[in-house]
Amino acid sequence: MFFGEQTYCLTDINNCYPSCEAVFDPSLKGWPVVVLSNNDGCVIARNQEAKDLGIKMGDVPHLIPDLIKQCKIFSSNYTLYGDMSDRVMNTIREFSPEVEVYSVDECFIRVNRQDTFMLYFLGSSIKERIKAVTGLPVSVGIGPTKTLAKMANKYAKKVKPIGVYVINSEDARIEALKGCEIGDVWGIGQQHAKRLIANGITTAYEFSVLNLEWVRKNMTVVGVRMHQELNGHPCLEMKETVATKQNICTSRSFGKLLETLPDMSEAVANYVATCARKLRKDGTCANMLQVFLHTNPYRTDLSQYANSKTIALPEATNSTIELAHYALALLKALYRPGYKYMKAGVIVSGLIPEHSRQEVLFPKMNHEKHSKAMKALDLLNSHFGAGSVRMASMAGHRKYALRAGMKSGHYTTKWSDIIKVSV
Amino acid sequence: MIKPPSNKNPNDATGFVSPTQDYLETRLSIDDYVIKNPNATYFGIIKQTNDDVFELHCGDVLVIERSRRPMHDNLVLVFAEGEFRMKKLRIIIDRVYLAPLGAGKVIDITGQEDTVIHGVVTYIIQKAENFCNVLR
Repeated sequence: MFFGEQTYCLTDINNCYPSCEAVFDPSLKGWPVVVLSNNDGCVIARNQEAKDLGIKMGDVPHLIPDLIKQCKIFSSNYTLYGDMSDRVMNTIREFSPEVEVYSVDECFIRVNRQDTFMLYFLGSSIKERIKAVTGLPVSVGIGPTKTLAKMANKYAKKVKPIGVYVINSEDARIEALKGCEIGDVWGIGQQHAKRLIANGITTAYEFSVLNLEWVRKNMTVVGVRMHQELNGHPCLEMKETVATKQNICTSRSFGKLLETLPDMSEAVANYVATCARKLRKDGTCANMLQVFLHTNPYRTDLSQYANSKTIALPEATNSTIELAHYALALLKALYRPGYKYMKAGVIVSGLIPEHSRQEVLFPKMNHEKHSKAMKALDLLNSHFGAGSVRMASMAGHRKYALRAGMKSGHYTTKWSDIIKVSV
Repeated sequence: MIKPPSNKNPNDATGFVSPTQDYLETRLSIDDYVIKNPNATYFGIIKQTNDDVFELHCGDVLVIERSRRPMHDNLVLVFAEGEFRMKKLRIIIDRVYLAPLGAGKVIDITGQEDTVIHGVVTYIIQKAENFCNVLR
């Protein structure tokens, strides 16, 4: 097997959301903990105790009352998870300048290849440091390719309590791949997994020893890449810069069904403000704007309506004021009275970097003025808390607000929510 | 901390260049003083005090550094009987104790794996008017 100069290291927070909850409420220790999706719809995260109880991802709480009764339940608290994730990622940056944050709870770094002992030392140092800084448990997988690092990470979770696994030899690679089911291999979808199992291939190891020609013929280029990566040939590079997004979508199901245009307008104005803020944060402008809405398709007792409308903006913009103006006009055109709406959303697309915006001959708006106003708006909101300064159209009763009945405190971002201490 | 926009940037000045320009430093921030390791720093607030502890009041804010190695005489955060509590750590030769800040029992925690120290209290932020209430 081929071992290059470089080694990849994947750090993954164990049961990220429930672990974050447990940091600020240690009494959860030993309890099954589940975290529910927006609007408390279904289970999106479980700790080990909840997994052992038999609770599955996507379970709907009121359909499994007997199991749920035994659990501590939380509404998702993305503010908290996001902040804890930042702390983890910043800590990982202490170990290497080459970092790729892969998701909220996973992060790759690239390091020079060293002997196995040193790599184990690196892995356990990362684990200990993150535990000390955040209190969160992580697993670390190290290997000559990103996919092998991922496999090592999966295997590390099995060899508790060390939580670190290094693939630095042929034996170590085979051991990890044999312990990994084919469905768990990164990039192999359900369809391919089913077909491989039908062909008697159940582990990552059996897949890795397949003839490359067979893989090329029967699977996509992704399959070929995975095959190569599992055999130690790096095909996936570090993505340190995030590719420019194609579009940004903000949409949510309302906390309860909405009927009137003012209520809908308030929701849409808030969604468009979120999109605009993201555009400004990324330094991009949108050329197109779409608004969509629909009723609840599962409520067969109610009349149904769904529609969407897209416009090309006269000029690319990231101004909340301008985007809200067009979004509300679109909503007015889409809205039909007499329906109970469940969801609306805003999509901005045709994104271009702010500085490459084409100037039009007779601009409808004063860009400089808008950009100054937006800068002030963003500063005020980051200073005094999100939503301190809003467009008048966004203000209202927040009837559309998410149901989040069991949300824990914003322990790290809100003074009123910091932990209480007795002396 | 992000400061609101200001017009006082000397680079924006017209006419003569300000002589202060070469001597600019960023204004002092209390964050820099009390937070040595931002990623490991959390805040707590005192919600209940013991009557014997004159120095502390409800509403005092605790700056907690989680990653700091707890040392003898440090104020530390532990979790006991369903709540976070601040205790004084005593390390005497090879034994480790948690002492209450007021009257009460000293507990020997040597070798007790289930007693977790959740961080070291590095600063206590207190309203000056509360401090003046202390009569001795």
